[in-house]
Amino acid sequence: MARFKNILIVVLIPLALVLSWAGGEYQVQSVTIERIQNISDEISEVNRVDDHLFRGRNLSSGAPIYIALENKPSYGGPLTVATVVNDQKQIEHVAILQSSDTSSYLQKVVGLGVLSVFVKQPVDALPQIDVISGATISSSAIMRGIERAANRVGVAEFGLSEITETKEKATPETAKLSTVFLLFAAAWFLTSKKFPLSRRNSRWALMVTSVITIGVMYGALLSLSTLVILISGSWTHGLASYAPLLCLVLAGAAYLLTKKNLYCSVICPFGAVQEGLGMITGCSSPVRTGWMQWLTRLWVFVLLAAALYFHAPSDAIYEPFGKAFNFIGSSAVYILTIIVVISSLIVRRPWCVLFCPASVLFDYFKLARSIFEKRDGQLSGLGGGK
Amino acid sequence: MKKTVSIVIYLLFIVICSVEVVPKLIHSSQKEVAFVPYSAGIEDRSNSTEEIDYGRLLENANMDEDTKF
Repeated sequence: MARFKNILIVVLIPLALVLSWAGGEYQVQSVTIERIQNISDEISEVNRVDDHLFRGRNLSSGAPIYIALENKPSYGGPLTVATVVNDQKQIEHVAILQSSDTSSYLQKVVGLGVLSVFVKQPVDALPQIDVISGATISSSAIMRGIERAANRVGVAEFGLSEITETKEKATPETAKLSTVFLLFAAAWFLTSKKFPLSRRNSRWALMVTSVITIGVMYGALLSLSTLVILISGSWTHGLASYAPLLCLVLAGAAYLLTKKNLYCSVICPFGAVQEGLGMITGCSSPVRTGWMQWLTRLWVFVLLAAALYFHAPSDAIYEPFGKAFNFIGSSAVYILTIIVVISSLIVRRPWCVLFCPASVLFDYFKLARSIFEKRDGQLSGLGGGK
Repeated sequence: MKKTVSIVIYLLFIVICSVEVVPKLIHSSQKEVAFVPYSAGIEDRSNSTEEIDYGRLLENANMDEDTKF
């Protein structure tokens, strides 16, 4: 009976999450034309030509207008922009139709003028604008997207030649992915019986390496928004970095195959920082009561479902990782980071044990794995497999 | 004692995380499905970059060249 209950839970949770995403997707897909008309009151009679190109009319003059959409990978996931061109080859409107970036951050980027600089410009002679320092990924996604959409209209409606996109400055994506992979391989070797050196010292060496690389240099920590991006499939449209996604996949695969939680115990930079602080006072782990476990699980599930339904991975971001390593985040996250730092001196790894969404994820993996084992797993009392 | 401390820390976490997350969810639930977050057009070109002091804006936006996004 307990086994049947576990199977039911393991199947129903992802099913509910996928249904949440599908409900939001249905709404988004059915309103593309309405969304284009909402760019300006002057846009009317919009008809679809293909997936990216639309035709309409200017409400005042009755002249034809051409609208193109373009997707580009931004900081939080894919970003969709629209460029509206009149029959004089001039850009009348530009807009961001959809974005997974944090709204307050995107507002700052847009406030720098990345949209308005394109208005009134001819599609065959767009201004050459470089990315904005301090907002490289998002400003690049917006500006290159508008340029590409404008060229799409130029090619389809005005016989212009297609412009080959100039490659952005090479990002260290290969280095990021290689580092994540090597860290997982080293963590797996560390926990294997064949490891010849001191496990304690080697574990610390790995954790320090992870803090420097995954934490400070790459900011590629696994978070709840990573799970939203994975389930929603938005990663297929491009991401600024696939390193957090690789972390998630390798962490899950390692746990399901070897029953070892390599991410939390060795690789997580935030866990390493908390553990390092705890060593100063020699404190012990906090008490994680039953109601805390269930409240955290409920919190994570509701947040995941909501972020999937709204197609907004940034809605699920509340972890203090960004502020701790890259100084990105709101005032609330800043306060949370300070509390985690202080409480790490009182109890060992307070965030990891009490409220980290990764522990809920590993609880789920443990339950899923227990189905295939002879002994029945129990959802209560699972400790993330540390 | 340790249990009390753990409960206090846990409650602090959940309250602060709620402060961070709940407004975002309310905003997402209240916006129309066909909502256009940002647009610029001929009729509202007052924010042209020609009139923008990038240095001041970056400063106000609490960003600098070393900040990575």
